[in-house]
Amino acid sequence: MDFALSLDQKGLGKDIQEFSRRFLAPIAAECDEKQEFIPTEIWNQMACLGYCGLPIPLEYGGAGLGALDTLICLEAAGKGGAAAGHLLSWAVSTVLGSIPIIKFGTPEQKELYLPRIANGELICAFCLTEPDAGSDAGSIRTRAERSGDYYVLNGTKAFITNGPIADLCLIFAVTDPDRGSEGISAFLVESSFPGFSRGKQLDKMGIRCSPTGDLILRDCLVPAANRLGPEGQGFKTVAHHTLEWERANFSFFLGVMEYNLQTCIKYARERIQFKRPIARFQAIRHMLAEMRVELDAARLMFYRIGWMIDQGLVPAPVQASSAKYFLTRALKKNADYAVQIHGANGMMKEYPVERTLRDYKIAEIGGGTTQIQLDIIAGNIIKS
Amino acid sequence: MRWIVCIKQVPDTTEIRIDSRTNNLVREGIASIMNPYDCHALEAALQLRDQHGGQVTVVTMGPSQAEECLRDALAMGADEAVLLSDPAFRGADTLATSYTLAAAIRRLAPVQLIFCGKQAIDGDTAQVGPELAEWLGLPHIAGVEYLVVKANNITARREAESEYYLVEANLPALVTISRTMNEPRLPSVWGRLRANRTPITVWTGEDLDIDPNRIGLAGSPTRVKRIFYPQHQRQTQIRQGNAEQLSNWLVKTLAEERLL
Repeated sequence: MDFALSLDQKGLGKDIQEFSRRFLAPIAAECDEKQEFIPTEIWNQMACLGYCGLPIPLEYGGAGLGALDTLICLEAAGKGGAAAGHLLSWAVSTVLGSIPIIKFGTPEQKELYLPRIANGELICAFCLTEPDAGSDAGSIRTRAERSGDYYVLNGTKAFITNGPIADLCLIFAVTDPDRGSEGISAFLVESSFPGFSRGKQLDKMGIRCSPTGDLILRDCLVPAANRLGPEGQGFKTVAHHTLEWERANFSFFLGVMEYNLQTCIKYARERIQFKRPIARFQAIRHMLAEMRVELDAARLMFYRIGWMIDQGLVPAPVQASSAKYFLTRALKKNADYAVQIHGANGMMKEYPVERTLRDYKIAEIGGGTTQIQLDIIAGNIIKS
Repeated sequence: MRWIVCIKQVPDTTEIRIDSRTNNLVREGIASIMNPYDCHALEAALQLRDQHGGQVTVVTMGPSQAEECLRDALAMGADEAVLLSDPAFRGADTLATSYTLAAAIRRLAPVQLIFCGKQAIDGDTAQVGPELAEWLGLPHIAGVEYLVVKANNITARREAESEYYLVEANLPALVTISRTMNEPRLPSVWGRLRANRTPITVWTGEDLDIDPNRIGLAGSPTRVKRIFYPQHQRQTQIRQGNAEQLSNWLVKTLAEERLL
């Protein structure tokens, strides 16, 4: 067993952390305040550097990275001090936008969309959730009815990450209402298709740098060639086989935790109380040590998921859900301690740590709630 | 056509700490980086290559771990990298370093232009570039913040305290680059992956035509007697009076302190 990072992983991590430090960290607070995504010129620069196509194969203009390399890149961007919201939107677009196409797309679909995701032209969204189908994702109601060379889609998708800005949406809709979750199909829907519209951008507590909104489909015309995967396999195949990636996507929070920890160590060394740096006090030291231990454990669990995807050892629902469950717990404590160590300063917007205390909550809700992760783990271990 | 960039691996001094007992730099846990001035030198060379063609060769002298900064240079877009590594090079001062670099660059001839960072952030001597030019018998322009290459000629603007000089020289020549010259590019993912697959040329003393008495500690006349942390002292005086009295006093005091 080898725990060392490869030369590529070290180098890519260093480069992306530096990019994040130079370009994303300085805009984090203002974008958080104004609920703004990454400005276009920085997004274009990310595309030029290959960041918008991390897992996309080289022949489609991507960087051709595996899962472990990709999640190490996401982590590195967090380490550099970028806002979690920016990283969430980027990861959803770059990873969740491309993986289903890479795995299930026809050669034409790959040719049409992957190069434009990689070059930053298309921002993607993954659209499963509906107003009445959250954790119970199999109960979606959006309908897709075949009509000649088209499908006609009707319904509403809710709380969609990148909803207000997405150009390409992977939309799950019911093609056969009698077959339950086996009657769900996946569609690649461009925002320019007739009948596609967006709700307004939602005002959120956290991950404010990630635009969230509803999508409304009213007799939306989608070419039959844009169905991804076989009819009826949208949920059982496309969504299910993307699950590990969906969990692994949260690896940017590993970097956010590392950034918080380093920020706290620096602060604790400099902040003087009772005539000495607070880093000398056991109460503070133990918080820092706990942050470190739990970050390390979460990181190892995530690296294992990346490794398992690369080795083809998927589906791995227990390991993937365990990693996300544990990350969420560690992140919650990390965010809480980071503010606590900073004291009153920690509550001030001029310090970066308060943002994490608002941002962390998405990890407990998005991509399957903490409770759903436990259900998946329990279901699998009790069954076996 | 060859553009040479000399780079150095240095400790990242953005968060430098000094051991209060020994007065030495705390090097544990301090990452090594490419000297930031050298990043600007490399960027300048890459831009010239993109305009005029040719290839950029980076050269560094150091232990085997200096390979890391060569990989960074390759990732940014350099075409080839040479590591000068030999236990005999150890302990070199600026004179022995520039002597060794000169021997390597002679092997890489013919060269168009040699780029160095104006100085390195660890020693801050700013000597290696100009010394290297002397060993090679080339004209040099130090502290360049803008340059144009036309045919066999370079025109460069070099910074000075309160003015700048516009200097012309024939090629081949050597320039040392100021940090105000450009914004170094970041490596792309493809650049980084390519860099990790590019072989690095390693030369020892045996690969170079050198006098053993001029390299390493033996070739280094410089002796560091002591490293210390400068004492910063504030001497505050609060004076009262009218503008004329106060300004007279200020001018007199500054003159006495030899600050005017």
